[in-house]
Amino acid sequence: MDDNATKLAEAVDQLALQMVMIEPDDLMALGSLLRDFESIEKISLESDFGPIVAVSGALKKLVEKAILNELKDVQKGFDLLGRGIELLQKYLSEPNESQSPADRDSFWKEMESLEGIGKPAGFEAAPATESSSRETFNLTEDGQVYTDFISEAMEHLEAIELSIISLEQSPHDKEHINTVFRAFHTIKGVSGFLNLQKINKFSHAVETLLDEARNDRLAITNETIDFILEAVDLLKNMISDLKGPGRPDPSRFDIESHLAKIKRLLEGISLDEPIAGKQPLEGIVSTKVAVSGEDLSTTPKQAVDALREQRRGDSTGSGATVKVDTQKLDNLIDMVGELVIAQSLVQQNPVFSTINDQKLSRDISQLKRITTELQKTSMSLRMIPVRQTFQKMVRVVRDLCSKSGKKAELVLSGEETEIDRGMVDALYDPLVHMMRNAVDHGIEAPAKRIERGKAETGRVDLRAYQKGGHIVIEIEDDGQGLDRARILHKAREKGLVSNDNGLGEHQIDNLIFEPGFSTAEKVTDVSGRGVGMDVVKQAFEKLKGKVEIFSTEGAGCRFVMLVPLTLAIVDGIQVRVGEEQYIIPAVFIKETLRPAQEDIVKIHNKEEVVRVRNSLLPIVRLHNLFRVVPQKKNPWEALIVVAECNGQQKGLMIDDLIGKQEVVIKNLGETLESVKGLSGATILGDGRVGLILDVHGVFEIATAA
Amino acid sequence: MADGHIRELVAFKIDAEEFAVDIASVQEINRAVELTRIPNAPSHVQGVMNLRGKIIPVVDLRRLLGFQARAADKQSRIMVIEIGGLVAGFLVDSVSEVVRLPESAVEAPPTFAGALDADYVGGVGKVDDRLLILLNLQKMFLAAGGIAPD
Repeated sequence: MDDNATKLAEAVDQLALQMVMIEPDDLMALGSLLRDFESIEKISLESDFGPIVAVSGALKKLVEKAILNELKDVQKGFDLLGRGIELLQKYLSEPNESQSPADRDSFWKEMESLEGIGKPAGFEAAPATESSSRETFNLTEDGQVYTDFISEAMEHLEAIELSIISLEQSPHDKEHINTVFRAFHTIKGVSGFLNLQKINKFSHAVETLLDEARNDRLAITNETIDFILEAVDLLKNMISDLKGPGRPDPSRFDIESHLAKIKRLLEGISLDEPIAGKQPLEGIVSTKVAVSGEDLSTTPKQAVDALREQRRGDSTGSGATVKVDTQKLDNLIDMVGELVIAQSLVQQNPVFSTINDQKLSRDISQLKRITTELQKTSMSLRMIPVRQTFQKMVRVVRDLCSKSGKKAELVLSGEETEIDRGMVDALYDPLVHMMRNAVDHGIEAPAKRIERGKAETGRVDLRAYQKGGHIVIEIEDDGQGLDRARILHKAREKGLVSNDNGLGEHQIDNLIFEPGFSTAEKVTDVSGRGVGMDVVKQAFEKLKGKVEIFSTEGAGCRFVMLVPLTLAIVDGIQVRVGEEQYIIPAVFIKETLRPAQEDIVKIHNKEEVVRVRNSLLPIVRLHNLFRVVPQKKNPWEALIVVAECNGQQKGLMIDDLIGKQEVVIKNLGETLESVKGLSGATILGDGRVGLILDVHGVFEIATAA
Repeated sequence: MADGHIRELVAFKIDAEEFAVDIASVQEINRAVELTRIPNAPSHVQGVMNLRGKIIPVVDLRRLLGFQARAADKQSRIMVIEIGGLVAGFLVDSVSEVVRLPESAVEAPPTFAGALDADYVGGVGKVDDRLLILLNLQKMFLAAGGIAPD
């Protein structure tokens, strides 16, 4: 027996072993089975073991059917598989003995009758039963595979966006092309496997395009990049359609025009050239260049390869991370918080201080260290780097540039800075808006830049870093800076300012945050959404952060945004109102003062105001709002907390300041969410519940009253 | 339901009246703790408490059922009750025992005159010579501003 025969015998024995443990729905195992049959087929083909070629070929098809869930009778199919392997074993162990023909014949007969796989050793791939009308995917049965596909495909598409932009910068970098290619390949494979034909067809077409590029038969031009990004968007839409309610409706998406574009790209025709005249549209659609029919049927092998690749990607990419239900995570954090309180209650117990035992106090200190460390670690579980959000901005800037004809490069730094998980989503929209602002209003058109002696390509910096208990996000462009004369003009026109003589530069700059202010002279696709920078400011205030502008006319503009490290913790000032205690988030507090009696004025005998330096601020008597009996009746006996929110300032009257404290914000619970003036609650050091003041809400109530 | 079916109930007192709720809905029974008042909340919401790191509202059943309010004492208990994913505490004067009651001993609620709001009553159970008023928790929840399960 030669080497190949030994190899085969080993492989077949291995297969027999696998067969014992295989489950009909274990795709991974079926995939590996398929691969084994393939190699057996190959080896036997090399060595010209005719019957083995035929049997393993047939078995391979059987496995393919099993993977595609097309077996007419799963149990019988698997029985056949077992018998086929036995047959192979017999062929190999006694090659010269004449086979018992009965065995063999009945095997083929059943193959033929059961699954329609005939004896001839042909190599037609997947059975040609895949009619194009069959988009009947059973959502309930395959739910898990399906949702996995959606989330993974989305990740792949995001990865494509990132690589494609690197590719644009170095169009000859094979690594980037390959990354993009692989991502489309995976999507194609799995979508084919899940029988999502439209997605499959389209991603296949894009893959073909990339394959050409990979093999140097197609140059990567800006047009190609644009197109691929378009394709990414289309796929994103098609895929997110899948997870929407009701049945996905692939017919909503027009892939034909995109397929036509691919064809044109492949033929080296610019997309800008009018289609009519060159080639009738119908002709393009019906010709089978980029997407010929036989290419399209994803063979099970491709699907399995894709799945395999995906799995490989998972294990290398996300290394040592675990996906955990956020609910569980929050519970854990809650319990750790309780542990810290319990620990400190024990430590502060008066009995404890009377015990003079060194070991006990050592152990208690150790316990304290551990709980503190545990708390830190558990809080850090909520944190993720801003990288993903930042990287999405690269695409945003690119799109903005191509729409406005400007040139700008986005330079990221500090992407590893970590931020609260809940904050990430909240940051996205305001950041997009700021990018728009930078490209649309900041960066000049290329010609103008050259004229001004600047580099043709503008530069936008997006930075993140931690500073104290805050994350600072900076957006800096080297554009024209804010045009203060124009801002003033606009503001006057819109009635935002009446008398602008006293306005300092900083105040003028801040006018752009006023609702209803927008200086774009023409409504563009880029900036013309009817919303201005006031939305950005509000978004940051909601996050208990703030935005500042530093602009130098002609040289650029820098926005500095400050957000708390986490939404879960707030820096608060604990105050006393009557018998009760409240926590006011420190970010809203400008100062705290005890006014002189002559600084308190009653306007129209009704509204109380306090004079703070040059301004008069309305006084909000918190005790009235919260219906408690105050300890101090008059503002000059009590304290005034000057709070600022939405550009307004008010003086909140309290009885006393208790202290400054970082507190963990908790939900008041659905039943009490509607209570106005409170934004949440926290658990104080003694285990009791403390209420957190909602400055927005308090201002609203006070204004309405 | 068949007559042989036994209901297990937690019985508690407010003044001299005895009430009961289904034991399956009671998560735990705690001594009354110091609550934090929620300003401008409905009057029967006594406040919120810290239940091992979670903040839950506490309803004063005296107020909800129209009894006169009084301060909690050593006998007072907070029954933590969960319905449809919502958790709330209910402050009662005292919790007496777990009662096993055959279905046949439960009668439809009579129409009450006076103090007790008939809306919250799901039936009346007879144990020896005692009368247990079975409370309709879902309606109580609704009244407490909570979201009643479907």
